[in-house]
Amino acid sequence: MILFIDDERRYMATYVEELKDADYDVEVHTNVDKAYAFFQERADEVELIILDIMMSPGTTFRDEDTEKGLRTGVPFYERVRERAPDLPVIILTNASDADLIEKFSGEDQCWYRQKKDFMPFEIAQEVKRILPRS
Amino acid sequence: MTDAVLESDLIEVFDSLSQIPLTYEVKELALKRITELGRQALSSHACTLVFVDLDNRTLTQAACSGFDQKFEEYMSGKSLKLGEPHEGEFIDFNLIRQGKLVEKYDLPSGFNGIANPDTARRYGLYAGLCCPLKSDGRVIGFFNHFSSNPEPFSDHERRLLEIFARQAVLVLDRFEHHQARGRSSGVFKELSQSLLSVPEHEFLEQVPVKACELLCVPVCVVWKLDAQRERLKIVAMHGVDQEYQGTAELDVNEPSLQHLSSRGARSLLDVTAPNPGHYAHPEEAKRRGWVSLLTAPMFDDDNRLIGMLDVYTHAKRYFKEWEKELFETFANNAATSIQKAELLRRSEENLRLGRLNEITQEMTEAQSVSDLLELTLQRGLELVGAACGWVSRFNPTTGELNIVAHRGDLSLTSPLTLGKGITGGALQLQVAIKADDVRAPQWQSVYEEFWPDTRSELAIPILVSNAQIRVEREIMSGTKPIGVLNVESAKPCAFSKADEDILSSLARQAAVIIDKLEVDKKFADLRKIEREIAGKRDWDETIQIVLRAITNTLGYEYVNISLVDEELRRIRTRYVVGIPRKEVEGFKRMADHALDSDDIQAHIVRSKEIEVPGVEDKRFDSKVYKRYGHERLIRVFIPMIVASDNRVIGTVEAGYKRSFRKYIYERDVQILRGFMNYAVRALEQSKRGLLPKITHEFTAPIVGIRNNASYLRQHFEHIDPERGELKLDDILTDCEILLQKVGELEHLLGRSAAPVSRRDMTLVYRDIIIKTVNQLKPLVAERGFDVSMIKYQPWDMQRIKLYVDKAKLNSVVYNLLINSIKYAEDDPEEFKINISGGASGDGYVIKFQDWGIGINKPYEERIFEDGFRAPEAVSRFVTGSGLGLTIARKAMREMGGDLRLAKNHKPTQFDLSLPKNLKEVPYDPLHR
Repeated sequence: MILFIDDERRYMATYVEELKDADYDVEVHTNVDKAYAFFQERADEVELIILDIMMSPGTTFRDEDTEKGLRTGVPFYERVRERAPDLPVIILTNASDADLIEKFSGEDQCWYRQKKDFMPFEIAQEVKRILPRS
Repeated sequence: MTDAVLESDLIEVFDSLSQIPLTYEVKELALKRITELGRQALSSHACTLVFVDLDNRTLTQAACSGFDQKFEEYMSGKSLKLGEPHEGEFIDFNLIRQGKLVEKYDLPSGFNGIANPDTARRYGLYAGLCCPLKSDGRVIGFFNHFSSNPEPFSDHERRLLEIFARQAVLVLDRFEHHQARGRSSGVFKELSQSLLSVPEHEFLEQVPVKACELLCVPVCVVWKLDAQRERLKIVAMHGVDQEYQGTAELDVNEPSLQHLSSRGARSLLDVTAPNPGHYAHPEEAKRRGWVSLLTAPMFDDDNRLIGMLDVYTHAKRYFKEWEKELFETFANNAATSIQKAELLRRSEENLRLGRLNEITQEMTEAQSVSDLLELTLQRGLELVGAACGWVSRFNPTTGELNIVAHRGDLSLTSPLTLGKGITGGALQLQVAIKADDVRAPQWQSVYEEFWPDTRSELAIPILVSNAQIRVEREIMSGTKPIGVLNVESAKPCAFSKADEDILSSLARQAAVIIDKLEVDKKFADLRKIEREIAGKRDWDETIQIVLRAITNTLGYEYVNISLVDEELRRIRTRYVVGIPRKEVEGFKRMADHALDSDDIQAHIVRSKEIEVPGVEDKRFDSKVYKRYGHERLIRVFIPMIVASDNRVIGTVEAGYKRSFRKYIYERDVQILRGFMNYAVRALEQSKRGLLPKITHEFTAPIVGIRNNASYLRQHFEHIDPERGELKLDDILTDCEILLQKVGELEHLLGRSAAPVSRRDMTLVYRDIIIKTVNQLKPLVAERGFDVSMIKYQPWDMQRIKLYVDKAKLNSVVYNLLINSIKYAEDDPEEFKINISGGASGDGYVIKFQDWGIGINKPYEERIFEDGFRAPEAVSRFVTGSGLGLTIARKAMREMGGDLRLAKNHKPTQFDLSLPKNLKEVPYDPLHR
């Protein structure tokens, strides 16, 4: 299962559609609290996470330094890593800050992808590469 | 008359007489022995020795040798008045004054001029032969030879008496000289011992005491030459009140001091005599009861005049030559000793100055103010050899002096405060205070006991002198109080002027280094804060950090940041610290002035200069000034200037209460100015930080359009038409969003469209409302809401027909509706938007109501500010420029209408008002 977390439903729709067309089971969440709760509960079923960075921090990340939500994806990623150090994560975002690129470039099993550089079908291809279907 | 004495016996008598100065130490016994020897030489019934004071007409019976003890006791130590025969006195003044040998017989029978007849009768004194005692030709007394029989005195007796009397005078003179010499050796020895054992000022104080002791005089004054000014100043004295020291000063060129050009003592018998050539201040001498003067110049080894010694008597005194010589010797000795004392002091001072230099080096290595103050105390005690002391730090907010380091058992009973006690006094008066004996009456009302054994105390203010201060627009010089260094001793007079000087120097060094350490710390702290600011993208958050820095780091008690509203041409207080929280809003309402007014802040905006206005400055708003007690404050006003275009965006006003601080220091002003420059840059950047947000908001719909197009391209041949239609709707919506973003970008770049650009006849309902709702359908669907819950009353609105800039009005409506959708509650059941409208007065009002999260009261006005986003909005949607409502209201005003928030919660209602005849409506920013 792919867990897709992005608070802009309309803009994630084409990505989801391409992934579903590629026969992936996609669990979509636009609310970080619900997304995190889902991951906590069903982490074992999640094969890959596609994660946005700029999202409302919700109650889960209210007390973390998210820069008023502009970096909510960062602490979310850290929590994922605590639980699942080897889980593949694609950071899919419009943010292009150098510090973010630097941070995620150094991570294992993590791919930083800017939305402007990837068509939805290309993201589907990227997922296929990471999670090859037998 | 008497039996002749053998010559051999006479020789023995005169030998004995000459031995008296060497064998007698007590004057009374010496005098008694003289009379005994006289009686022996003259075979007298009785011999007496009297001293006379012709000036005061008195006679003192100094010694007597007679036939029985009762007579001797009766005759010794008596003082008698000298009188005229008619005055009833027994001793004839005129007879005595002549200074000749007097020979009288039949003494008991009546007035005889030399003896009381009753006494003569009682003690069998029949005849008297009285020989004057003369010294330097002046009658000082008589030696009297009394006989008990009526036989006349022989010539032999007369000659013998005269010889004996002359010899007695010499013996007396030698006795006194010998005595004085004996005293002088003791005096000189004590002086040289003092020279090595006591500080210079104490040594100097001993010089006049010893001079008085040496010459048996009551008053001595030691003068020291100020060679540059050619004036003599008193440096020590004995027997004179302190007032004299402060007032007396002599010009060495005045006639009465001509004698100073050569060595040798000079005497004046009566300084009160009106003879200006001989004495400078006869009236002053008269007032003090001074009569005779003996004065001697003091020269250094190179024969240069260094000072003068004066001794005075309260009665006329004829100083003998040997007394003058002795005094001259004393003056020379004193001069040498004073020179030595100076040399010793200088060498000691040199040693101490060397040590002070080492200490200064050590001080520069101190890492903190507390370390430095501890070091100041430690080294201060070392320099003056004291064991007890403390160093206190001045708190300019409370006026208290807090002890930060101490030595000795300190028992604090009350806090030290500025102006109170010796410590507080030293800091307030900004001078060192030296209490030689804290138990003396002058200190009783001042001294506060911190150490029970204290007798003397020295309080040295730690001050930065010549600190630059700002007064109005000028830079001037002032002092900056830091604290006080106190040293104490259980001994009275433990500290000298030199101690005061060396500790003052130490304190000055400490003050300079402390000031530097504090400035360095402020800079270091501000650098950290600047880094913190650099990471912030939010205006409000940035400004809160700035306020904290100005108060906590820079120590200002009052801060007011006022911002320019260019649209309304006003300057308004936006942030204020230092007044009660409940008064903040009232203050803000009052502190709101037109930019072209005479108000101080408007003036600062126009002049772009930093100022510390005086208390009476007429540019202060008198209502605000009185209401908020601003007369108690001293403040600096700094313009907030954007460096890139020299535009003033506001003013920062920072200050503190005048109670304990007199100045605003220029260095602090420059630190604050530098920090505010940084803060202004950061604030502008946080505004410009909107650009990345807007960039993101451009990216999102563009990527959305591109993704939808890509999807359509990928699946073009077998896409479900319904899905394809949705994709196309999405594309249209994103295009509309992009157009809105272009408007925001133009606003941000200051390139707004012309106030009235293109006007068409517009049916508001059909051309604006319905069109916008259709455009927003995908967004409504995205949130899972039912678009039919957007309700409007077309019957009224259909009638609204305006000649208007359609695109501009469309953008306003779009902004209002998109906000209603974005900030709707999550529950689809609660989603509802009502749009209604109709005529109102001379125009139309269209009302937009929604039941979303609403706008909290404190943010009602701020939602129209550039870039402002309420916390609730941010928590829901991270992105967003916060420009939408600003642009919408501006657009409405440009069209001659307005936009206002009518209700803030359930429903949230915005009223959009438009005049009926939208012709060329001039844009008036003050219209609200």
